[in-house]
Amino acid sequence: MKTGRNVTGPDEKDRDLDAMVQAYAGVIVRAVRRVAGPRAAAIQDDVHQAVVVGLWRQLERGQTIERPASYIFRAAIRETIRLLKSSSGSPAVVETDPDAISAGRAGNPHARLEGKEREAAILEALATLEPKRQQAVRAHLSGFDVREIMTMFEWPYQTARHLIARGMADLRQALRERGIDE
Amino acid sequence: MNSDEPLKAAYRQTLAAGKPSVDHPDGATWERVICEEASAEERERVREHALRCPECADTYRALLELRTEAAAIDPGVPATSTPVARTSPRWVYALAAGILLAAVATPFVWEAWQRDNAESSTASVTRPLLSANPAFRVEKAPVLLSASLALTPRGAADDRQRFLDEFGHAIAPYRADDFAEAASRLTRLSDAHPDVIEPALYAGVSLLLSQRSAEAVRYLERAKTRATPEFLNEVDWQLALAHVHANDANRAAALLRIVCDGSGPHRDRGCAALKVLAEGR
Repeated sequence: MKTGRNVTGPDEKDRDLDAMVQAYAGVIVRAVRRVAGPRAAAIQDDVHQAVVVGLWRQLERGQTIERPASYIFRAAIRETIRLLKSSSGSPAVVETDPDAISAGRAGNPHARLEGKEREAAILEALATLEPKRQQAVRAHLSGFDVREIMTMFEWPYQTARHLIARGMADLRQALRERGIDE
Repeated sequence: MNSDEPLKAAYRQTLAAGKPSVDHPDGATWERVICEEASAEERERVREHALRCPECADTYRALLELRTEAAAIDPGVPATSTPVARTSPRWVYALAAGILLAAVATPFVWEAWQRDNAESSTASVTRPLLSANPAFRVEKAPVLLSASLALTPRGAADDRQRFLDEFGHAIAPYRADDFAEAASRLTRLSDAHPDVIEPALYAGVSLLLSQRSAEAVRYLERAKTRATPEFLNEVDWQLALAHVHANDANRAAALLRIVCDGSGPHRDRGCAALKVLAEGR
């Protein structure tokens, strides 16, 4: 693969780095596809190659690479953010964009009012939760899985599971009290 | 957790319909957080922002995923500070209670074992003493990809990508804590690719978390035959737990001795479990 780096012919170090970049590109694409939801369809198969090129560009911006492995990881972070931003601007977003949903409601005052009331009830119900349970529930509803929640809050596994389970039960109860059965 | 999906959708919609988020973390901030270089205050600020901003929640999730998978292929990736095996007072009390219970009950267990048919009595009497002990609590193993899989030679890149796609599909319910579905998908994938460690390992853990210990042993033994050094400690630990839950204390003890004598992340729990096992036998 031409990367722009192997101008004088690939030596062993370059080959290792190239293999690492290829592996990282796969990891980045999978991570972005996982969180992309409906947008994932817009992330084309050829994105892997684009990410490889993007990673090399990130790497070539560095003046020195004292710790190559961690330097690649930092480049991968920047490339992941770039790919997420570019994928969120894809046409596939339009159908699930909340603005589009709101626009759809604009012609139906009843649906719009119902939607607003539901949104307000969810926020109110969340606010009634005990702080740690509220954090766990917000994270769970935002799509983080248990292991990610453990990492974010530095909670042991059982604590994270317990806070999510109890918090979701509390949330449902608070929603029922507000006339919403989810 | 699938029944939470409507609430998740409603929550994201609620956030998106509210005031637009401001003060999104910039690239340098994300880099510090994911590289474990941010201060506690900065980490908290980013975390709280992400819980109220769907776009940044996606970024955070993707970067956590990136770090987890990258750790399997790159030794330069910073270790996470997740307290997977943090000792808490409750854990200490539970462990102490377990040891005390085992110590008190051992003579009675021994009498019962001698009285009855050896095989059947061992199964019926030791099970509540050992597998219910907190020392043998089963926990979800973090998802890692072996370097050999991620760095397959160029010629095999297509096969590798196809396999990774299949693995991604099979591991998804595991990530979402739907272990029954994960077990179903991962056992199928492992049977189709018996030479690859990842499906066998996570099939075994999923089966174990679904209380199907005997089947878990089969897949974890398959994983052990293929385990590379980065997986060995995890496989030995999970297989030891599977043997305990399948009432095979002898095999469990042999593996726990290896885990306890090693320097892997399960060493402390392995030593504690070995002690409980010795007291309970």
